[in-house]
Amino acid sequence: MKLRNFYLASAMAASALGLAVPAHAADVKQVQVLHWWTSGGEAAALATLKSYLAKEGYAWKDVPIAGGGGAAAMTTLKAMVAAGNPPTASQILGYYALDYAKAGKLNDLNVLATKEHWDKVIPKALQKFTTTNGKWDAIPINIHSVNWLWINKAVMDKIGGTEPKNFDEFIALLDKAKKAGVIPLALGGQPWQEGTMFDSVVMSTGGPAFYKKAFVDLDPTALKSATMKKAFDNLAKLRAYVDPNYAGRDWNLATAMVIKGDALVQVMGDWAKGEFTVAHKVAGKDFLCYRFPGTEGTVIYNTDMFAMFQVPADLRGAQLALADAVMSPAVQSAFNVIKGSVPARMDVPDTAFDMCGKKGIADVKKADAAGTFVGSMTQNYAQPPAIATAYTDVVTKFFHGEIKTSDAAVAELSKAIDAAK
Amino acid sequence: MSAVTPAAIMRAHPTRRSAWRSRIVIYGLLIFFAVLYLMPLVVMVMTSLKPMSEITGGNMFELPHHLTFAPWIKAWGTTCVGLTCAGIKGYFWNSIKMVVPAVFISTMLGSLNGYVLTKWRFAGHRLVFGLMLFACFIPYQSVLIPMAVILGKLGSIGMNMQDLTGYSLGFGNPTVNLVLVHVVYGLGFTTLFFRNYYEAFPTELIKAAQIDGAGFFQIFRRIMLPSSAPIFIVTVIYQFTNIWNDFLFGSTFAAGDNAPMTVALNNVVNTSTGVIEYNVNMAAAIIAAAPTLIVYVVAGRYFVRGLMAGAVKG
Amino acid sequence: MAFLEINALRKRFGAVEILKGIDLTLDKGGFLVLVGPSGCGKSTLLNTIAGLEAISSGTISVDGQEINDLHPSKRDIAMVFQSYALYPNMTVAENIAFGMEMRGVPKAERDKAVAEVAKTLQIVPLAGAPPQPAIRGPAPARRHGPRFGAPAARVSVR
Repeated sequence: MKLRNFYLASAMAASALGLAVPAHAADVKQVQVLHWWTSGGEAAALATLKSYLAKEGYAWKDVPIAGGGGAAAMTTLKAMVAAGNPPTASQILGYYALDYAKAGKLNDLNVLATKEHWDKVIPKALQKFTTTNGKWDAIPINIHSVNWLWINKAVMDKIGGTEPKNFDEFIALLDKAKKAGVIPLALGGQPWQEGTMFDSVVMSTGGPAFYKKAFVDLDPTALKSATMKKAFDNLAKLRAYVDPNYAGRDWNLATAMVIKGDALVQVMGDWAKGEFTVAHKVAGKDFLCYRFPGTEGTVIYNTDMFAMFQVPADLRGAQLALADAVMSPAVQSAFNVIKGSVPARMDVPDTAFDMCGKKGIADVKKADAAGTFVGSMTQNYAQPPAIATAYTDVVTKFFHGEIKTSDAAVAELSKAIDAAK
Repeated sequence: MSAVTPAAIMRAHPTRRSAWRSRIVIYGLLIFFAVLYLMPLVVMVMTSLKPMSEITGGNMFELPHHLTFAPWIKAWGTTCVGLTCAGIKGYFWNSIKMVVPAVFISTMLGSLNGYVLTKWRFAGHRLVFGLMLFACFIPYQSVLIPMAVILGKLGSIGMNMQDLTGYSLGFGNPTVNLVLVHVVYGLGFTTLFFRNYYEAFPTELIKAAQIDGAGFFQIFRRIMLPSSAPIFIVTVIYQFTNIWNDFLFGSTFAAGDNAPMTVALNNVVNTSTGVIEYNVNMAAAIIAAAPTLIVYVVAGRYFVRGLMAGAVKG
Repeated sequence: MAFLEINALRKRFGAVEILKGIDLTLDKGGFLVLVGPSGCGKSTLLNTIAGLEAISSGTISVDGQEINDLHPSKRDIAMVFQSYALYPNMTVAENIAFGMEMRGVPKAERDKAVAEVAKTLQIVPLAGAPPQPAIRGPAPARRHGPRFGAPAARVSVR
């Protein structure tokens, strides 16, 4: 009697844990995707991909791990790969994708890439991260650009401002706002936000050739040049226009200040547009999007990519279906309309996008053709994360006054980058 | 105790007035710190019962004007965790399914270890105990990838068994993996607790039981276990709290559908864009913390008693 | 022939020799008193006879049979410990019956034996009570109290 009860209990425990259910065959029509898009707008954007796949007959097994800009998710990814049990695909930063590709952990997508001519429609600069030795193993779903100004139109009209074309005009505009009693510049005092703004300041101060030389090539003379010093001086000028409570503020709270009209402008990547959209604000009517003054014609980008991992042969079909879905013009359009970014494919029509989205798409094409499409230092697309962190560290110390002069900042910057290399 | 003289009492309480004064100071301090420590919880509970309009527009410390349980219902049943919007309830049960066996197994093994290390000593028992203590000081992060590799191997054993017999017997199941990881990681602590407790347990009782003819497990079950309630409570509380609150192992080894509560809570709360639903977040956080709170409230007084029992005797 | 016979018994703990060759005989019905300062090996000797300590060399025989390697429970020996060693989680009656239970004596028989011995030792009112003092070790105040009946009863049911 006792023994029978024991067996019964164990059987129940086993079935409760799903141990007794044979679960091999059903997985073939399923993709497992690791990502850190758990918030409202991001999740909604990703859901467009999920529903596209559902129509194709593939189930979506969601593996979300939020937090730290993907830091926690990257730990999980590392463990899954080490266990020999990687997800079908994972959201990933460009340089991490390269690491996994070099370790031979990613799957070759050339079957699809050649058929669909991905090399023609994806900006050349991005292909550095998506291909290894001529093999496509990761795919970009979008392009974000960080050199944007987001302006409250009502405030702009009230102070009689016009689009600033260079850094001096920007300062003049900020002065106008200050005199009118609004906070000129909405900023969240976190290292990555200050770094993101400094990306634009450097581009504005030195131009695309200088930016590339300093941040992509890490040329020591450029890093120590007078131009870099001037960029720090310009950053210091902007400090006079933020409100006293900026330290530690989240970026979306800074965006909210612009939306509410408490502040005139925020320097932020195009994900800020998502906040305006959620608040039912219309581009051109309620808010304005300009390129950061002096950076018109250039795009400082970062991108969201999916790396495709080595999966068992029977899951290969589902993986290719996922890759095909990510790269389909329909998904690239629908996804990016919601996310605020622009399609990674340059041949996607801009009809569904608002005026900021249309400008973003046109800018990417122009910049790619002109060779002024460059990775964001802060967002880990100019250099690997270690160097990017060293960079934002110096920028934030300078902005918060821990590094006193621009001379010292220039010296600290090249020292920190050397140490991180 | 009965030998305390009236004079001694007099010395302890020289006058009624200063006694009163020290009472007021003591209670004042206690109340102050109680309020200080309770404040975050109070704010959490209040926020979870307010509609969003009152949170964004109002004061954090204000009582709710329109009491609402909607955030709780949403957190439990409909809030989005990643792309699936079915609330945190599934993850809550994931945690229960994982915590109960992990706590039970690690505690039982710990008490067996403690029993052997004190009452059935063998050559090198000190070394073994030392190594187990060492396990207490290994940081989570450093064992992560080796554990992943081992779990991967177990997973492929499970695959083979599945193909051969139709049953994986739990090998490779994420919940089983988490139980295993927590048992292994917790064993150092549970062994330490039980060893120190049993160290003070009279060895003559074991000898008497041997003469009475009881075997290894009979002595354990009939003599040791019934006298171990205090240390069991300490160990169970300790293990339950640690395992329930763990995020790193959960997110690393059981991401996705099998994720424990903490990972789901992280995904609900860790929002970088859009409107942050503070009331839903607070409700979810309270639900996530509730089991450990209940364990403390129910068994908390034994916790201190159990710790003291070990401390005084040992 | 003597009932208990010990020859050249030695017991070492590591490098320390506690029992340095004990020779001892005791007739059936005899009475042996070991006297000595603390730490001289009285308890160790008792433990080796009971089988709770393995011996280093020598022999121990009871009724002509060598019991050196027998398990304590197989030696048919009872022992009252210094601290009484009553199981704190059982009643006095359960304590008395535990050895019989372990030897597989049926419940009815055990109950009868416990009742008898409780009557003989005049501890009937205590049988259902827990043996509190056991776990604390010997305390002079209770050494000759009525509870001494419990350990005595336990050994007498063997």
